[in-house]
Amino acid sequence: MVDYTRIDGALMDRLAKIAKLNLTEEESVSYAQQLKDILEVFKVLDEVDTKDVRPSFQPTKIENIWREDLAEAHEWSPLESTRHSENLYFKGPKIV
Amino acid sequence: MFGLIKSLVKDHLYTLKSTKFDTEGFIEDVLAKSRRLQEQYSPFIAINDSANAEGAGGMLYGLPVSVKDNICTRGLQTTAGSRILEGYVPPFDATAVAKVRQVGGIVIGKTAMDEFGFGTFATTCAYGVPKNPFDKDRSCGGSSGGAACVTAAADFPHIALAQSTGGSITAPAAFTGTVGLTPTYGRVSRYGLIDFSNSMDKIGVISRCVYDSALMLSVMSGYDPLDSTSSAMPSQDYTKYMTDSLVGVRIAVPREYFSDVVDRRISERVMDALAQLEDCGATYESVSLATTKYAIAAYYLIAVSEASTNLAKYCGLRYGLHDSIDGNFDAYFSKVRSEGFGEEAKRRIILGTFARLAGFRDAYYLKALKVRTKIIEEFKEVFRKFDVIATPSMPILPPRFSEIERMAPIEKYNVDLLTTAPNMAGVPTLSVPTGTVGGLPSGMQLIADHFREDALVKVGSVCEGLKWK
Repeated sequence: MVDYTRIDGALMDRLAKIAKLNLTEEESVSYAQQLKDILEVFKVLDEVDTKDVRPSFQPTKIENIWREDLAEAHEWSPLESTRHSENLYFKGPKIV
Repeated sequence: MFGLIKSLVKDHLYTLKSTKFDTEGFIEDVLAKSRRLQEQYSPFIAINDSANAEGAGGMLYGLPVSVKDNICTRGLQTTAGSRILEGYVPPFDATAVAKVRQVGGIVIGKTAMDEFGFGTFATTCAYGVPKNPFDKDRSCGGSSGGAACVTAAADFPHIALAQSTGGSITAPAAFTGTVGLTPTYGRVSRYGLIDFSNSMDKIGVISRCVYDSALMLSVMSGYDPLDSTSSAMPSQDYTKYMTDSLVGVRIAVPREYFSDVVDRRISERVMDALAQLEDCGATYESVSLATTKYAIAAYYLIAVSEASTNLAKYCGLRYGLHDSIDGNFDAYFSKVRSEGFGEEAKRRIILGTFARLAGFRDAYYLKALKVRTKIIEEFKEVFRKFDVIATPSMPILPPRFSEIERMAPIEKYNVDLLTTAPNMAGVPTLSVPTGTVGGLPSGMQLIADHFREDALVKVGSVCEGLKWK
């Protein structure tokens, strides 16, 4: 398993940026330590031999159930709950 | 008197069918009592002042039902216990809620929960913390704490719609002396559920007695074209499995669930229950579930990984918390999310983002999914020989809020050691009360194979007649 000691300020900045969170310096330090503590405990998984074991993305077998590809009436508008819409579109912040 | 639990639902529904029913007067009375419960124990995030009974003649017609706040209710604010969804009023019902309303259930309110379900004690809710009716200084358990609180404290007929990812029905049921039914993954549609872990979330029930849970499951279960992970297996009437005989029923008792970290008094109650079930015709035998020690680590890695992606959609654009749009998308989304998410939500998003990061993904996320495979296989092996597994529901009695405050995050996660394995395996569980220990409730968790809720109802119904010293 990965060396958890690599969890430093630079990594926390990277995680916060990906997760779209503005962490205070205090939060960043606190979460970094907690992350180390949690991952230290989670190293127990190293004991499990998972060679040739398939990952279970779902706990039960899920099968496709097909339906006719027909449009159906929708009873509500996705725009009902937003304050940021214009001409039947969501209006978001600038991308570029 | 709490702890002397008797269902009012069956009698109530029977009475309604045989007498003239003053619907408006009854609802007014229930809402008034709900407001008093709110003053005493804070179980609700919102009480539905415009509650009404639809579905005249339906099998739940006239029955008050509370709904956990991460299940969407048309016209009634739904926040999942988070500030980031403050003000969100869904324009639609979750399928489970729609089914309940169609047969006459009355939605009386939305119950308090840990933010997005992130907790074992219902203490991370942004809108108030429910207090345990047995002792107001103690937790109701989480994350469906409000649902359990109403169920334990209400003196009117009522059933709660709850939800579990890793034990969020079993924990509050055990801490409040109520019954908690967590169905098989896919047994109840998740359409309209505010997911945090889409491969583990299940809508279930908290109720006063096993009959009530079986009744509600009968209403809610079944395939839903709006949820591609719902099972095509037809729904059935689970109340027909209520019984008073367990002749031929085989119960497995896994050693790992009775370790030293489990309060000895709780374990003894379960062993006492098993001895009494033997008198009713069941047999029980010690078994080993050796993968149990890996369940918490595997569970949390999967849960936070899925949470970090599922919560990406909350960014102040389509629903919930909004702000004036300024700056670029990065600055705006980060600002809203930082204001809207609570401490535990941020912690789990950071942890999940880490676990899925390139370079770490195989070591953490995929490793956890493979361990899940081994856990499922181990359960399946036991169910080749046994009908149900019996364990304590929780390793501790309901803790004081002051004790919870002193716990580090990893200590809180470790309290889930008895519930994470069955939840990540997607097998159904039923938590039934085993009386009180020192004035506080304890519970026994029954676990069955996928889609064998019938076995849980059968054994659970007999448990209700057991006596405690």
